[in-house]
This record gives sequence, structure tokens and C-alpha cells, in this order.
Amino acid sequence: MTQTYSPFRKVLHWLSAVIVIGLFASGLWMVELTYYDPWYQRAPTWHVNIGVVLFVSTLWRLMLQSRNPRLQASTLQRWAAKMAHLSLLVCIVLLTLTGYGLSTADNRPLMVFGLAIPGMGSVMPQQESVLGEWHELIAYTMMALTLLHAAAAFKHHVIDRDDTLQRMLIHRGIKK
Amino acid sequence: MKKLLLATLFSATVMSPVWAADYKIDDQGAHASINFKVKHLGYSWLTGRFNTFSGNFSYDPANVEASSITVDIDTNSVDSNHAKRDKHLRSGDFLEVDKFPTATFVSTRVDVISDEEMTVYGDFTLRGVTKNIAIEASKVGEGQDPWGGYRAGFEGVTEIDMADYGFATDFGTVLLELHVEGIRI
Repeated sequence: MTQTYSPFRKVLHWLSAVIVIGLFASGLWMVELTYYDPWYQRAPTWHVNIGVVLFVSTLWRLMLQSRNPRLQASTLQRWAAKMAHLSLLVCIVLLTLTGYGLSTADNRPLMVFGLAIPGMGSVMPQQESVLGEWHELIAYTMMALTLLHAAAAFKHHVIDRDDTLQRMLIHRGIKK
Repeated sequence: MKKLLLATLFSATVMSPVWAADYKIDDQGAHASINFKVKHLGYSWLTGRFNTFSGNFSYDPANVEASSITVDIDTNSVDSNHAKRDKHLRSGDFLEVDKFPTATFVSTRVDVISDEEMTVYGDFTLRGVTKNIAIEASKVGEGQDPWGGYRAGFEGVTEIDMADYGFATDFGTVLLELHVEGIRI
């Protein structure tokens, strides 16, 4: 019998996947909007809202890490997978922090679903521009890691013909 | 007439500016500012400033035409009291600070209008584009400061068209408001 993730973890995982790709796409799109575009104000607002949702759900997923099914793989592969997962996680945390820092460099609160989160102010000169560049770089890095992550899953499924991808799929449902 | 005579006497005896004096703009003590304002959607004025700049001027009350001024502005220091807007202003849509980190003004001619008023013509370089502009300037005051120095201060206004300087986003006319206080060097 294969081990699998709980349905809740699966939902969180695939929701995160959709959000990560959606946030990346919306980020690329919204920075190109002209000042007079109706989405010029709305798009960043939702980018922030959804970004915070991703951050919170990632923390949640992190707390459930200990219940991960054991990987059936070599030590090297296990280590590589761990590193890739950790990098993705670090990217989400860094994207949240840089996003927060660039949005609130002037000490204005960050509005999340209409709720005011206190701003962080400036800790470096031209913080909003510097962190803006970091935010973009980390986002591209994360996309590269996401591709690697997906490619690895397909590799397991198609070449190794093991259940690495299967056990994250919704239809496999019930645990054990 | 009497006032003019007094002023002449005063300047001849007390200040005796035989040669044009050179001044350094007091950016250290921040007794100078370079402000701008531009219409927002045509509904209001958005104001901002450049926090980092330096410059020198030469001024002789007896020969104002011989005055000159140069100012270097760090475009990175743009400050409109809103972080995300400042980020946008530094981007390729506006100042493109990565490519054009400095804006400069170098005066070429000074026309005297009255005792305290003058027009300062000069080359203004912004986004790598140099255009001749005219600043309507006036002297605010000059004299000894309490710390052993000598200061002279001016204010000036001018306007530029964003289209002239190749801004990717064009909000029309930008008004520039300049306040400089120089310490004699």
C-alpha cells in the first residue's frame, strides 16, 4: 500500500501551485499596466491579498511537514528533493518579506483585505526600488524551481514509474 | 532713491564685494530644496522633491550679470512621500535612474530684471537630454550668519515639458521650484 498525503494537504498543495503561478503571471502583467488602466490600482491590491493568503497557507503547510509520507528514494534523491522543497519555501517567505518591505517603505500600513498591517518603514536607502528588484529576481528564481519541481514529478511518474506524483493527486484520496 | 543710495552705500562700505563671491549650496544643513509639482489627472497638484543634490554659485550684487550657478541632482533621491510612487518615478516610465543617475543645471547667462530679480538661463540635462531653460529667480537675502559665515539665498521657478526630455510617461508640464542658500567659500 502506498503512503499518501491527506486530502487537506493535497488541496493546499494544488491551491498553492495555482496561486504561485497566478501571482507570478499577475506580477508580470500588472507592472506593465499604464497609469490610466482600470486595473492599475486593483491588480496590486489583489496581488497583495492573495500573496498573504499564500504566505499564511504556506506556514500552515510547514506545520504539517512532519506528517509527510516517507520518500521511497536514494539518500541523494531525498536530499535533493528536500533542498528543492526548502528553496521553494524560502522563496515564498522572501517574496512575502520583500513585497511587504517595498510596499511599506514609507511606513504606510499594508492593506490586506481591507485590514491595515503596520508598515515596516525603511532600513535601507531607496528600499522600495531595491526590494522591488529583489522581489522580481526571487520570483523568477521561484519559477525556475517550480519548473524543476514539476519536471521532477513527471520524471518520477513517466521514467521511474513510481508513485511520487500519484500520491499528491486528488483522486488517490483516502490516506493509506 | 534714498533707499537705493543707502543700499549702494551699504554694499560699498560694509560688504565691499569687489570680486564676485563664490558660494557652496548648503546641502549639508539642508537650507536648500529642489521641489517639483505636476498635475495629477488634472485634478490636483502632486508635489515632490529631490533630497540629494549639490552645487555652487557665484554672485556679486554689484555685477549680477556675471553670476553663475551649477547644480547636480541625484535622481535616485526623488521623494514624493509615497514609496511605491517613488519606485515608479525611478523606473523606466519616468526618471530611469539606472541609466540617468544625475540631472544637472549649468547656467549660461543671467539677465537682471530688477534689484532682486533676475532670469537665469542655462542648460538643464535630464534623462540625458539637454535643453536651455529660463529660471525666474529672485534674491531672498544675504548677510552674515551667527556662526561666522556669510550666506546668500535665492528662490527660483521654472517649468519643463516632460515630452521635451523623452519621458515614457507624459504628464505634461512639470513646475520646478528651487530654493538655494549658499555659504560663501
